[in-house]
Amino acid sequence: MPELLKSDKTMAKEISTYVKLQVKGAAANPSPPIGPALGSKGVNIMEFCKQFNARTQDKAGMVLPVVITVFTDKSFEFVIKTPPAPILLMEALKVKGGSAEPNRKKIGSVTWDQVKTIAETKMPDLNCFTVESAMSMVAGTARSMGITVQGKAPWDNQ
Amino acid sequence: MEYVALSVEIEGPFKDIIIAELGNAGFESFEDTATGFKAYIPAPDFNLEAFEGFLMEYAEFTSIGYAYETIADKNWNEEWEKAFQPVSVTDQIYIRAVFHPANDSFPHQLVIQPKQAFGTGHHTTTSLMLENMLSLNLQGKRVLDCGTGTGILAIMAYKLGAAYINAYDTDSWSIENTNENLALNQVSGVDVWQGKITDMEATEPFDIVLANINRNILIAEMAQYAAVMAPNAQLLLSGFYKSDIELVADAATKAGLTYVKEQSGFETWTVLHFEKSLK
Repeated sequence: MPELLKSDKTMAKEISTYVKLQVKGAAANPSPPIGPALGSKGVNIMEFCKQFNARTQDKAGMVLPVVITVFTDKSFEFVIKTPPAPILLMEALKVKGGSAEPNRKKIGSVTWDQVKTIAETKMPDLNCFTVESAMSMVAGTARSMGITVQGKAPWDNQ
Repeated sequence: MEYVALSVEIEGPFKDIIIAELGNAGFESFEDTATGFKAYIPAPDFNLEAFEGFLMEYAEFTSIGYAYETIADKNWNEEWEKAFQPVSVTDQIYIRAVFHPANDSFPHQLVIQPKQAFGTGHHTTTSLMLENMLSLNLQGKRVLDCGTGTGILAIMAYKLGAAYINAYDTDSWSIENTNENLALNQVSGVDVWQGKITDMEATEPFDIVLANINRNILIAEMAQYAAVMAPNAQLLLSGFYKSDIELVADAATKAGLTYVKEQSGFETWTVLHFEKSLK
């Protein structure tokens, strides 16, 4: 019997589906899209929300990509990825929340140090081999958002 | 609550930028689609004109299209709720749905039929709260249940002899569900209301305060919990991980409360017990 229990425990669970969403930290609730995406699979949505919120208390209000693996026995696991670069840039600019009307013209500026911090945060999820190439990508995103990157790129000074 | 799903057709780097902007403007969550993404917002917060203007600003730079639909409020958790298993907490408490047979081998039996509300005993935080309630003397006491969910802790408090129970939650589904579960367990005389602790009407102090919510809310509301506690009142806190104990305990100490004990369970979910000591 103990043998049976052991093999049962180590047997890989069968994956039913993956659910990919972006959800604000500490703010998961059973409304759409979480509710319909997980509820239809028989997952206990309330339990997912409790876990997601507890794990993201330090990133309250920040949009976080989450990949949820749903198993055929209706259990689940999830992985929280780093926020997309524009979210991190907005965080760096401190233009978070409050504005009911989004407006592209709320232009600000970031330093290369800030770009580097964001690039380092994003490295695990980017297809970049060096911090410099990740920094170029982040700086490009910043410009597309109307954000100025102050000064020269560090590699221009060499 | 009704939600609006805004479908945006867009390609390339502007997708994440627009998601970030919409997140700033009150959209709660996002879902990738084959041609772009869908963004979700509570219907009362959706301002069509503002978003049309905003999206058009980006139309200068990239091709963009959108459509939106309203999604009716419903119980999305029904699939799980109609087939869950009964659960026991120590050898004292048995929690089951109406469709499960009774089990009289436990001294306490709770009937919970959840309806998109938290608290069925399956989650470690709920079972830790219930277990710790067993070690308190609730006989004839006044109990406050903060963030009541299914009402499970309020029902337990009644079964353990509480004289008066006040239970609130911010969510309307929870209020409806708590009232249903109180009826299923033949519990009466509980004041159930929708709101936050800051909305609570002035009342006599409580002997027991229960709060299974999350770290940030517990810390933000700690002073209010302390303020409604009678001398010698007990406070049970849960909804956070062991790694957050220090922050929560600091807030409780700052609110003038005294540490009693801690218990952690599966996945390091934790319950903290504090009291309002007589000085």
